[in-house]
This record gives sequence, structure tokens and C-alpha cells, in this order.
Amino acid sequence: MSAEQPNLGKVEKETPQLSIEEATKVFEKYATDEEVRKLLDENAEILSDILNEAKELKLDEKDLIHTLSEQRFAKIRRILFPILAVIPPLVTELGHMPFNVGEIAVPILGALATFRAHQTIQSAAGDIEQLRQIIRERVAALFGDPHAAA
Amino acid sequence: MDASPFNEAKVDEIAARISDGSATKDDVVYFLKATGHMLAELRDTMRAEAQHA
Repeated sequence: MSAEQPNLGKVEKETPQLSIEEATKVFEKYATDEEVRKLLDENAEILSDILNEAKELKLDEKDLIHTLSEQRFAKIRRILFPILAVIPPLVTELGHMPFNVGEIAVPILGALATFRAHQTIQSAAGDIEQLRQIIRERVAALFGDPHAAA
Repeated sequence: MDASPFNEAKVDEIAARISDGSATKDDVVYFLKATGHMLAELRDTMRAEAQHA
């Protein structure tokens, strides 16, 4: 499959190099703001829609790669990829899922990044476990429970 | 497709400010609005494709 995803390699070159620590601080700093919070909620809702559409279309990871590799979605890639870097613990969690997280992760982790910022509003740091549970539930709803399958 | 009301160069500038910790609330708001707009575009495209499937 690697020969079919040259655009993903290109994405990393295009993407501004965001500092994970600084990006996290910025989102947490403003996440309590009502306007920011509202936008986070809206983004989470849209991302939820995307996940549902992916399910409806029966998109597999290869399809998602193809879609997001299209030029018209270049801006989405440029924004989402650095956001994804903010949540390495969740990448680790999804790494246990039965698909290539590096490929299918764009819409899912985008949603998670939003959730992470949102979550920090409601409780102190250390909510990763709770967030992981959210992820597990959302992923399981879409793809089934990989842990149960094992 | 570039009917987008968001300036890509500005989004990149904001990304840089997020990275160096100097992003303001207005930056974050713009960033999230741009993200939401782009994601909505992706969602709408997927919905259209689902209808034609």
C-alpha cells in the first residue's frame, strides 16, 4: 500500500511543525472561554458526523487515505496532522486497534484532539484514562470492539 | 473549492504562533473556525458521495 500514499509523506513536509507542549498549553489556556468551548463542541459534532459518514460509506482505511490525499483536502491535512501530534497517549491507545492508526487516524484523532481540549475544561489534568475510554467507545461503535475480538 | 472564507496563510501563521506559545484567543477562535469549515466541507463531500453510492 505504501506506493499509494505518497501524499501522506508530503503532508509532513507541508505541515507546520507545532510544538506538542505549546499547542497543548494554548488549547488548554483558552478552552475555558465560552466562544472557544462552543467552537470545540461544534468541531466535535462535525467530526462525529464524519465518522458516521465514513461508517455509512463503509470506508476502510485505504479509502480514507485516498480521500484525504486529494488536493481539495490539503488544508484539512495541514491543520489536523499537527493537532494529532498533541495526543500521543491516544495514538498509543489506538495503536492497539486492528487497523493502521497512522492511516485511519485522521478523522478519529481529530475528534479526539477536540475532546481532549474539551475534557481539560471539566477536570484537571490526568483525564487521559477517561479520554481513552471515550475513544474506545467511539472506535468500538464504528469498528466493533477489537479487544473483544481478541 | 476555494470559496473558503479562511485565509490559509493566516492559518499557517496562527499554527506558528500556537507552536511558539504566543497565540491569542482570537488566533484560537480563527483556527477552530477554519478547522470547522474545512471539516464541514469534508463531511458534506462524504454525504454527497453516500447519496450517490
